Amino acid sequence: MDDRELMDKIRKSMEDTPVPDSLKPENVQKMLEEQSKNQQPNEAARTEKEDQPKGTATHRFWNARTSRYIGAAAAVVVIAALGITPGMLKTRTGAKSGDTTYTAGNDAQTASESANETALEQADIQSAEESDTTEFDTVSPEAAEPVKVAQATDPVSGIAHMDSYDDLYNMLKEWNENPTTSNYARVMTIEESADTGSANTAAASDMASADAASPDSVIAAYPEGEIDSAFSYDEKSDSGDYSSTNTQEEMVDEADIVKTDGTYIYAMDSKGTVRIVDAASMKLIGTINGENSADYKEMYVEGNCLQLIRQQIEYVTYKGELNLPSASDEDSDSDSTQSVRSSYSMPVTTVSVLTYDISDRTAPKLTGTYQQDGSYLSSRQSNGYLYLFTSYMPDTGNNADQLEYYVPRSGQEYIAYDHIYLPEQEGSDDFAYNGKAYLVSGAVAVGTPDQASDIMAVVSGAETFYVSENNIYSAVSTWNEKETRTELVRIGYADGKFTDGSTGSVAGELNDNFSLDEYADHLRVVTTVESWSSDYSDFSRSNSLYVLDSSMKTVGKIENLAEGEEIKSARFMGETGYFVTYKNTDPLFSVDLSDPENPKVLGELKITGFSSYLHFYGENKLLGIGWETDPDTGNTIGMKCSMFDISDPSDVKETDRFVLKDVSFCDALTNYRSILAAPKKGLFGFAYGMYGSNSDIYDSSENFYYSVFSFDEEDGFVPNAYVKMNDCGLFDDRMEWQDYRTARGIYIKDTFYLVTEKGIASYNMADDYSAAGILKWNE
Amino acid sequence: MDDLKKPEVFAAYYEKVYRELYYFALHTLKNPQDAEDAVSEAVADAFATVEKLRDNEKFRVWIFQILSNKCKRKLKEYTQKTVELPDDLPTGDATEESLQVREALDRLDETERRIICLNVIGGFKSHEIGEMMQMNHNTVRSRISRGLNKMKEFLA
Repeated sequence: MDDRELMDKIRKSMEDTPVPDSLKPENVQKMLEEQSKNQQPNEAARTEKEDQPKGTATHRFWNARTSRYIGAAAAVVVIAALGITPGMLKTRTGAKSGDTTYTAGNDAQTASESANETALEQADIQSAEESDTTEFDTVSPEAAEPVKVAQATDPVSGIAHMDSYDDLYNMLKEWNENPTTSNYARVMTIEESADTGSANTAAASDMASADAASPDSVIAAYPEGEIDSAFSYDEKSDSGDYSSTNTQEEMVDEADIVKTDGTYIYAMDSKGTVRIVDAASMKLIGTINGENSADYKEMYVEGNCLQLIRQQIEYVTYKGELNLPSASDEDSDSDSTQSVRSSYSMPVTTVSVLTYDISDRTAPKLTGTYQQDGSYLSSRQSNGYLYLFTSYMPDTGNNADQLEYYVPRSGQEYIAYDHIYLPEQEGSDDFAYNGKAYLVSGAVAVGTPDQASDIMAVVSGAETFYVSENNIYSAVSTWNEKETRTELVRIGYADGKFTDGSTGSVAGELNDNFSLDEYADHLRVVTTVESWSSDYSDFSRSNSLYVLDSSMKTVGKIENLAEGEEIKSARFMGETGYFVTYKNTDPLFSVDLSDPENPKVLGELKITGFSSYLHFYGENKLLGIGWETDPDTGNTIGMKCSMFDISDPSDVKETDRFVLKDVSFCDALTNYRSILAAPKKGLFGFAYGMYGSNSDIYDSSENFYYSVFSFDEEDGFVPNAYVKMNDCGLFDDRMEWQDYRTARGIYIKDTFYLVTEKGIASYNMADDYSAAGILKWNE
Repeated sequence: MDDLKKPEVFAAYYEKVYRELYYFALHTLKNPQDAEDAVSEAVADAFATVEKLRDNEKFRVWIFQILSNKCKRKLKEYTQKTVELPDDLPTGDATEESLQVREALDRLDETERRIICLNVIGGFKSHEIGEMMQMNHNTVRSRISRGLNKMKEFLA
């Protein structure tokens, strides 16, 4: 089926979709007639406004000079480092009210308030449904008002930071008023801020901070002096005969929904319930229940410490005036006072790290909660610190004093302006400040998790993260009118502190985080470069490899590789890098990176199909998992596992290949943490799905399998097990996509465990994976 | 020029796009009730602010934009995001193939799905989508391509 055909099918499916009666044109017309009658007061208000002299409206239009900021305003990423610092433990205080400048009230406005109420009524009626507050508790309005605090740590060197909140505010305001995109973006901005306003008007009772961290949470009595060994970082020991999360870097841990420490299995489901199971006996011994209104992401387990990451919306109340832009008059600038409120609340998306002491596995104890603004991007754990990355969307209020609009908080404090960084533009390479968010980065200690040991925010979008033992890299793709590019931000970190940083960019886009790798203070990047001619008639694509130094300057490169193809996978090992490009066949490139300034292609192995994931396997071997395709038609035949002999990188050979025919999909290929990769144990595994019957269109059954393979020199790939997940006993009803996606395969000694949202099934690896035990959560 | 302030005129313009609007909302929000609400609110908002539309020719783009924003905000309110198959969606007279196509669509990630709907259903070009979603249009093109490929895999 080609693209055209599929698009036609999509359109046809739309025509088939029944539309609710209320949306049929004749009923909509009736609705509009009703609305038209109610709109009279607005008409009056509107006409009045039109008589006023119009201000300079040039800010509404796309302005050529604003090409400096392409793709609208700033993206801000927030990073927190939570660290072990004895003595730094602070108890959570409640409201610290009164020391903010929000009560800069304008008392004279009350007269016009009632007149404007009608104008807003329309907006109210429409938006009332949007501010559904049923899931948030209404708490006393005197709850915590955030506090500005200068951070205790030094600012990061190497990247320019803001000199004041005013500077940041003015910059954001300018970006808002001069978007480089068309009027549509402008319409979006107005509507978004109008909606924030209407969310406030709906509440009869003030909604205050529905604090994710309950003030009553037990805080660990942290002894001064020696660090409690219960919380010390448990170095991953090779001697443990159990699997661990498949991470990009060996010494940097990544979160997942299933963890094991060789004795217990920890499984988190989508509702946030964490179950602790004693693996040998397959008994559930401890549970942590999740809160209904939060979105649980993933977790870490280290020694006797379990840390959960979840995201929620918090409503924070502020005192003072709020001027709402008129929703019905596009000529007003945002300072027009259509309405004034004496207090207002704003929804803020926040991410929390909940730390539990699980020394008694039957009774996990919450020891602390850390929270930062923004939505969850990613996290890493290294040397006893958890690094949390969130994305925060700034907006602007009426003036720079309203920090709640544009400054993210870490805990209850606003991030100091000198910890908010603005990557500089290097000459003609414009830094696009992609999107409209900050990258917020915080470090949290495994031992004292109530606050960050360091925090920072970078005005930058972040799509891809790579964290090495020394640096955090975030990357975002952008466009500079000629070609696609990737912008990179590097932040050095050590012991929970952010040290120095740099920014740069390269041509092309990244395939995934494996396209980045750091070695000997240099960053190696592989990208696929695409560009269009100005009339979109001509398209070109090729691939490049860049080597950057610690200031993110390109020192070495190879360009125009594999024209017409795109990168499917990459992996680096010290001085050699491997990556796969593909259009109809799969060249596996091997590159010599021993001289950063002169990278050289050593070899190019052409085989059919392509690998989506590469993993170094034992001595001189590289495992590739991906798809087998027909080189002539491009049709997918099935999945394939390839083993490459890389003892001589200039002459890479594919020594073994195993094809799983008719596999329809494999989530693991885009979610590497769900892959079981254990070369030391001599095995690897992943889940995939197949459709019941391709010929019978009424058979829409899906069969999900977890397959485990081993590899040895003589026999090559040996399938050890194909566990049919539908029949493993955990899914009496129809097994669902979500069950398959969240399944993990792990092993402890000689038992294989299939851990799912519904329970665990175990198999005896020494007895041909015969079924050993089963534990269902709901029984 | 037609006076869109008149309900019958507005409704006539709406009739040309209403199926697309609902389909887009349905596959973005994955919930028929919310989709119905989103479209209904978008229509009400559009009608209330119809003077903002300078050129009637741009009606479709404009109302899609409003709907897209509504959906974006509604998604932010979903604190529990699950990737469930919409087996509770009414099927009406849909063919089996259409149902599978819609399932394939729902298996995509949010961004891809929205982009494909805007492109295939809404009829927007990639640079228009790029502007609406604040992405560069090459990324839009490659997401469309990737999304369609994933759907093809599912439907094969």
